[in-house]
Amino acid sequence: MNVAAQLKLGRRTWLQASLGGVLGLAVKSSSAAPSQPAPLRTAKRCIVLWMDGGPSQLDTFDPKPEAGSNVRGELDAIDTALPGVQFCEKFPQLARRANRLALLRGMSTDEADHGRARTYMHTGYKPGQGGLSYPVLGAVVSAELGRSDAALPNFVVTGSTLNKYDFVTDPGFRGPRNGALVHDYADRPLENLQAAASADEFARRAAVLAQRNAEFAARYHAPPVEAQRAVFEQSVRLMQADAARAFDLSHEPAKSAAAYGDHPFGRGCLLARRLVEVGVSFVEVSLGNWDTHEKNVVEGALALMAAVDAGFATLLDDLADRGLLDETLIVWMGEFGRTPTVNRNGGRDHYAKAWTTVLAGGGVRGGQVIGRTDATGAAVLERPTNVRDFQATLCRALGIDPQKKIMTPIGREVPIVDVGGMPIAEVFG
Amino acid sequence: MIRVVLLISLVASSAVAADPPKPDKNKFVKGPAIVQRPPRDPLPLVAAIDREWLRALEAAGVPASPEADDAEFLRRACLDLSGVVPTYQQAIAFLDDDAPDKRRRLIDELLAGRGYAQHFGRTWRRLIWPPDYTMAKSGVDRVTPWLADQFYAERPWNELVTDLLTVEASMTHDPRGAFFAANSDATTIQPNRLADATGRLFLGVQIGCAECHNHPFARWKQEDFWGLAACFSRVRKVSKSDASLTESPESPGGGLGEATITVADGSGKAAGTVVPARFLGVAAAPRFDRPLRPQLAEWITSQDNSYFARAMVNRLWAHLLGRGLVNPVDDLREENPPSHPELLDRLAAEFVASDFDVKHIVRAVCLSRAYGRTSRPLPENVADVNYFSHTAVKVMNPDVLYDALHTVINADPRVRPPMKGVKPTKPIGRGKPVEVEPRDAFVRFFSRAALGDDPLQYGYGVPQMLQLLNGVQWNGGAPFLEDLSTTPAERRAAIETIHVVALSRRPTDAEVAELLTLVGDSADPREAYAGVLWVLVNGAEFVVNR
Repeated sequence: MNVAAQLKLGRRTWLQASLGGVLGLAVKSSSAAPSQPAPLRTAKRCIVLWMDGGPSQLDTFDPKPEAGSNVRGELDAIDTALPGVQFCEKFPQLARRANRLALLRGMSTDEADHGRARTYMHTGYKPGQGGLSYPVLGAVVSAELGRSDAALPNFVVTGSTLNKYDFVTDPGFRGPRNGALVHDYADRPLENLQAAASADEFARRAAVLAQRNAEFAARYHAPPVEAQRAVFEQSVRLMQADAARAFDLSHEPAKSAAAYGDHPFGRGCLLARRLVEVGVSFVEVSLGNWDTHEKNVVEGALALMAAVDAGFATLLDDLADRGLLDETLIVWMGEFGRTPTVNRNGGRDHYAKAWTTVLAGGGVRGGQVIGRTDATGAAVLERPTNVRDFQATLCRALGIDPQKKIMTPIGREVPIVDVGGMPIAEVFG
Repeated sequence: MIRVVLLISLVASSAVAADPPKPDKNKFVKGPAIVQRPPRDPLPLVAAIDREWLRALEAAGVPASPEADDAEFLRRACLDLSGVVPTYQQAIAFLDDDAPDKRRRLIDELLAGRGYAQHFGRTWRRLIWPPDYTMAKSGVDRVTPWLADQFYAERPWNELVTDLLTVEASMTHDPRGAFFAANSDATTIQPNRLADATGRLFLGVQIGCAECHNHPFARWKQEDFWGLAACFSRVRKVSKSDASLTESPESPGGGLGEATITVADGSGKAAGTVVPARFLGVAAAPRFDRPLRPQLAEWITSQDNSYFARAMVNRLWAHLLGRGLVNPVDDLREENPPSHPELLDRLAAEFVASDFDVKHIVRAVCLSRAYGRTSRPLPENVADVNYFSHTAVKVMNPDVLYDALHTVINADPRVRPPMKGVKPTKPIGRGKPVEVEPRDAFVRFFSRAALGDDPLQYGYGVPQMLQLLNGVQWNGGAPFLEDLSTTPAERRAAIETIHVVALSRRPTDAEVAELLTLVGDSADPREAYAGVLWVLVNGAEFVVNR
């Protein structure tokens, strides 16, 4: 379609035409059928509650009240809705909702460096493995379950991390079209959604820009040019979408917002609910700092615990009330756990051998504990879960075939989850 | 050769060291002018670069792309060397210049300018002190101007690094304290972070992995890492209120005995062991009866240290070509060989022989055929990333993007192009602290999303794109558009002017025709001109350095 023809079209018509054509979007059917039969009940979208820095399993969901004080720590354990299962005292609301949670107390991974473990937990592959840059889970979900022509991005990240966001947002070989929209502060509306020019004028300009970009990309076969085009197109779609209102928490009734807690993490959980409600496939809400090596960080983490209790518990209720919990997989995880023994600085150091993650919602049978650690939480005694099995479990819950092979830019096919990863059957039982 | 290089900011900061530190952002000590030395002859090195570059291409059977056209070369050189896009005047003057040596003159002019010092100062400020760290509370940045002065004065790299490693002035008020400030927290110097940063920045080695474990294949063991960290273990702040740095023994009253460090809890098998200070890979102990940092700096910057020169020339190559001869640029080790071993050796040897002259290496690379290729690939070399058959398409970092937008918005095409290069308008440096806002706000917002510092990745996301597309900062109108003629006969010329301002090249006929559709029979051609500028500035071509 030439530009003159576009000018004669109405705005809606032009947008429909341009989004498919001039902007160069490949509108194709979203997901291929998995090669294995999909589980009967699966989630359609996913919310990851990312605990940056690595929370202590002993001070969250695998307390050891019987152990010595150098292991037990200073916090007490409380009973939960599940007989015989205790949580740390800082999680009373979640304790009452334990029947909705599946606790994976047998996490046993082998990366205890923040950078490497963050990438490992997000991609299922060790950094640098096979010389490839692997997609994070959000990019996998975006590519497999999202729609490439969706008005809102399929993958949104909110909250703050200790460092840069790459390990949460990098789409790797899935390409820039599956990259994340990073919205740091959930309590601020997404800015600059309104064009300076009139809608018609903006549409005309955007069409010329898209055409020039296409010509430039054809001359310079360069990845950054492709990425810039993808982000431009996403931005234009978002500007036109009524659903972008979901980013503005001021539209939320004060009462329902309050339950999430007066904390950035709670507002992040609320934003996650609003986004999955309008069809966003993957939202990651980040919360740090859990890197509790020293006493002062340990004390700071008390506030994080309260924020998690309110935010996570309200998210479960809110999604259930709206009939969305069965369709939404919720994952609570950090990059590793902490050492069972309290160190001389009153904190705990990195520990990957035995720790805990929590699943809830779509596809997951709540009210169960999978895996068991020993009396001090130093070793996994039953049902150890490695990163591959964990990733395969998330995929299965989302109806994604973990063994599906993806063609990479270097011409090698790579399975979504590394060879050997098996979903944990008990999660779905 | 003129060797009298007077550094005004050194004069200024030694005055600060004598007095109690008193930050005053209005104080601007003006010193004698800096005298640059005449450039060394780059041509032998240029020939060596081209020889090795061509040899590798031929051995791999990969053809090189043709030479870049003038517009491509001009914009690339300006962005790489000064971090700014050419002004309208610079572009017209260069494009219309018929002299055969115009590229050489362009490189020389850019390297002699403040823009070069500013850009390299900013680049190293980002490396030494990434934007995640909050800058001085006073709201001014003293580090970038100081670094800019060093690059402007052609300070040998070994001297600059020695300054950063051995600084005794205040960590919080003296720019030379940046390296220590970036690797410390509010109360304590962090020897392990200093060791990691020393390895990455000055030696091009990632010894940080050895903080917690011995890698089965890597050369560096935990004791190497902690031995280097121990070299910083005696560094202290003079007092709570005075952040000047001094070396003092562990225990009060104790003499300068063996400097050691205890491997931190959680650092793998070696945790709790006591490691004495050692330089990387050096068996002999340093002299413990005198300060360790000067000895460390001497060892690091020694002509015999095979890592120091290689690390810097590899970084300079990567800065200009988008990719190092070794990648990642801070991972020099036997198991990660360079793509062009002889070339890396030659550049390093030349760097040493030139007394660590950064400009000399940069000049030679910029004059090479390798650097002068177009970034448009041929079908036969489109997959090549190792042989530099076509130059990389890089993405402007947030600092450069900020300046580029300002250059375009503040363009004034009415001023006649001078015959020689245009002086940069607002130089920084000369010891003058720069206000960090609003630049820092922009840089922070755009750095949040950037994928590390990889110039080959477009890391900006939707929120950043939305600010560029719709933000009032960038859409409040550019004054030069008001001066353009709106008569139908002159609209074509107006479009050409906007195009040169934004992209430093004249548009093709097809491009003019396409952009003219935006003007069409518009009732308000100036509004349409703003639309043309918007299209050009928000396209992929603007934000990349090709």
